[in-house]
Amino acid sequence: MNNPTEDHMAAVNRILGYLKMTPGRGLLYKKCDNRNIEIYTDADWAGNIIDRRSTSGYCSYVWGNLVTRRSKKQHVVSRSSVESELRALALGICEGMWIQRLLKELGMESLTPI
Amino acid sequence: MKGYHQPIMHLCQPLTVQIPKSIEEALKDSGWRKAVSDEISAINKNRTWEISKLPPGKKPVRCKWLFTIKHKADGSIERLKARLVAKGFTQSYGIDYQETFAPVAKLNTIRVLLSLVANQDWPLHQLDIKNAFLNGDLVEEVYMEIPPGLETSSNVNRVCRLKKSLYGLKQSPRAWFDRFTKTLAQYGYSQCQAYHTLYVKTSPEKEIAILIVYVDDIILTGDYEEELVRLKKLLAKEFEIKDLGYLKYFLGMEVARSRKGIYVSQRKYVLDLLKETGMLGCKPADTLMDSTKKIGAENDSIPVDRERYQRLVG
Repeated sequence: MNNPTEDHMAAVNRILGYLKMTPGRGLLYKKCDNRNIEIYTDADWAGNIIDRRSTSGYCSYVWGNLVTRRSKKQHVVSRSSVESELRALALGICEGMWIQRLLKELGMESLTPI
Repeated sequence: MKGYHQPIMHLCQPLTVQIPKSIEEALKDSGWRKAVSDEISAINKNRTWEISKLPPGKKPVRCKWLFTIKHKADGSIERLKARLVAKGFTQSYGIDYQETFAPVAKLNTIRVLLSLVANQDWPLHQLDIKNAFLNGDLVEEVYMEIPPGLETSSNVNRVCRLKKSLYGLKQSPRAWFDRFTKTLAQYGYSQCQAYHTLYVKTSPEKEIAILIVYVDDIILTGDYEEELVRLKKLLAKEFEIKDLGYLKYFLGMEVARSRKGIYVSQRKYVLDLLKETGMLGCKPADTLMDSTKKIGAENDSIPVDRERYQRLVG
């Protein structure tokens, strides 16, 4: 962030190029049969080649539709891929608990586990 | 493909209306003069300030006029807008303002709600509160200089003692949000704990009315339909609102609805971003990133314009 180089700029320009391809793309929210919260998590172990920290990622579905997704670099260096996966899982569960609380307040608590 | 070529053509059309650089310049043009007088009448209607003498030891906040052209979704001009803003950065903490925090809606919550709405066929309404900040009651004692263009022989050496919050003041968003929360509480709505900009009211039959507020934009939904109609009327009585009908555009998201579901995209946002960065004519890329390339591997690559990079990344 502090010392961007030509490589970084090329990556940004590539994102802009991708956006140009897809300005009309979006999300479709439709009716689904399942009424529960699903969360998928993943981790990229030691993906950053400079400081060897991992990246967590998750996406969550409420009632069959994608609602939140996130990708975040982890704060610590994981010594195994399982360790980094577990951190991603914790992040995803955290989000799931927030969604569950929100739904409960809206009077639509789901009884099924996340 | 056809759909997105059209707006690009539109963006290239020359602007016929010039944005004035000063209030003197604006008052020369009839369109802008009307915009200025609209803003002044809104300020007067809300009794935003009263003219008074400046007590010794107080420093007035400065202010200025802002001019913008409001566009419709297709790019044509909707109206000209003039707004008087206080220069909040000339305020000092503890004297002119205390707390400034005000919550705003997050896209996550809105998407959770959209999923529920799509599944249960609820209606989605959108309202817009005109001059929202002018409705916020000001607790602190704030003085502002007489706005440029409003000086008369009778108010020389006088200042405006602000009663309501004005755009640009540090505490304005908070003052407005407090006022809005109080109003909704009177109507029997409870503020959601997991999410502070979400308000809920349930009927004895477990029907539900939901409201989300993002500064001055409001989304209404739920199956408690009589309550939704009643709430719109109550809000119209309390504030000056514009009923935008069904939800179409919110926080940069375009919303389209059909029998199949709700479709959300950021087409306009993307096109505006490409236009701003001058990348409209760039080579399209199929994927976001090169999956094999690792950034940061070569330390000898050349540094680029830092400011442009940081603005793009956000």
